[in-house]
Amino acid sequence: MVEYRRAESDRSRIPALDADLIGRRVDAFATPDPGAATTAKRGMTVIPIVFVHVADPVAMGLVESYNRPGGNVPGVANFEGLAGKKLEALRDLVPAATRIGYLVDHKSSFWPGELEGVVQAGKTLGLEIVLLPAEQPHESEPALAAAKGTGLGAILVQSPSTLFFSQRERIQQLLVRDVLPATCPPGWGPSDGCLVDLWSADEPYLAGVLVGRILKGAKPADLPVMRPTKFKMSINTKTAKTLSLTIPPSILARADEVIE
Amino acid sequence: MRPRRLLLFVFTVAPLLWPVGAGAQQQRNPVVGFLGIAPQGGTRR
Repeated sequence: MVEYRRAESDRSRIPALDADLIGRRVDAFATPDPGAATTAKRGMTVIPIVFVHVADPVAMGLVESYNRPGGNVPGVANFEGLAGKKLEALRDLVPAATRIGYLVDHKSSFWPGELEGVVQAGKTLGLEIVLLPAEQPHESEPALAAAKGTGLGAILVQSPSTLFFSQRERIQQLLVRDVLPATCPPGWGPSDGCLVDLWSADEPYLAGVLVGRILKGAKPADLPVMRPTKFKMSINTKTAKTLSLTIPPSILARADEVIE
Repeated sequence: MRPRRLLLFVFTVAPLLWPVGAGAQQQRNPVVGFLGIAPQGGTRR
């Protein structure tokens, strides 16, 4: 049986929801949010906590090492490479764009080295990364307007991000308005407005595998941190047409989903 | 049930049933707590 709790994009609710689940004496705890995992670790010293969508669990203090996590917190780590893959996709889809805006919510930063990782990936690909900070709902619009005004060629939208998830429809409207090629805000794929989306497909499955092992008696401290192995790409050809972009057949062939 | 039979049950049969009840409690289905941040529907990433 699974007891579901949702913070409805409000991080201030996390401690109370954590406490509620502890009170229900759950046998294992799973969360797709690094902040919730960190909070849970402080409150749950016995209950196994399975994290997912965490980029660098060592840097975040969730585990001691990838092979021997120690404590009661095993999980799935992935994100350090995904932003780089998204940048690569943008470069391939919009080759004229050499300056890429990074719409970023520092408060949702999912790992300490996230910004540095994106800048480094940009250098490797020959792209200049320009930060577009937006930490409040009303800051996305001026950030994207500044991107248009300063001639940035494409936008990398931070994902995952609680703020951008809650604002995904508005962000996509702004991308359409400003005719900006962009990766998708967090959500369920490239609907109108964004051009390309990448995600790891097997993370939830791997988290389920870990929970299953724990329920069968495995010690959480002995379960190595897992990494996803399957990544998928979606391309929205309707957005590409709006942006007057021609998608090379080689990229279309690589896409797992093509939205027409 | 007569008082003597009731006493006999309480002190002989009932204690034998106690471990069965305790075992049944231990075999409850496991419960997994899931805490999501996004609203229902969530994200895939």
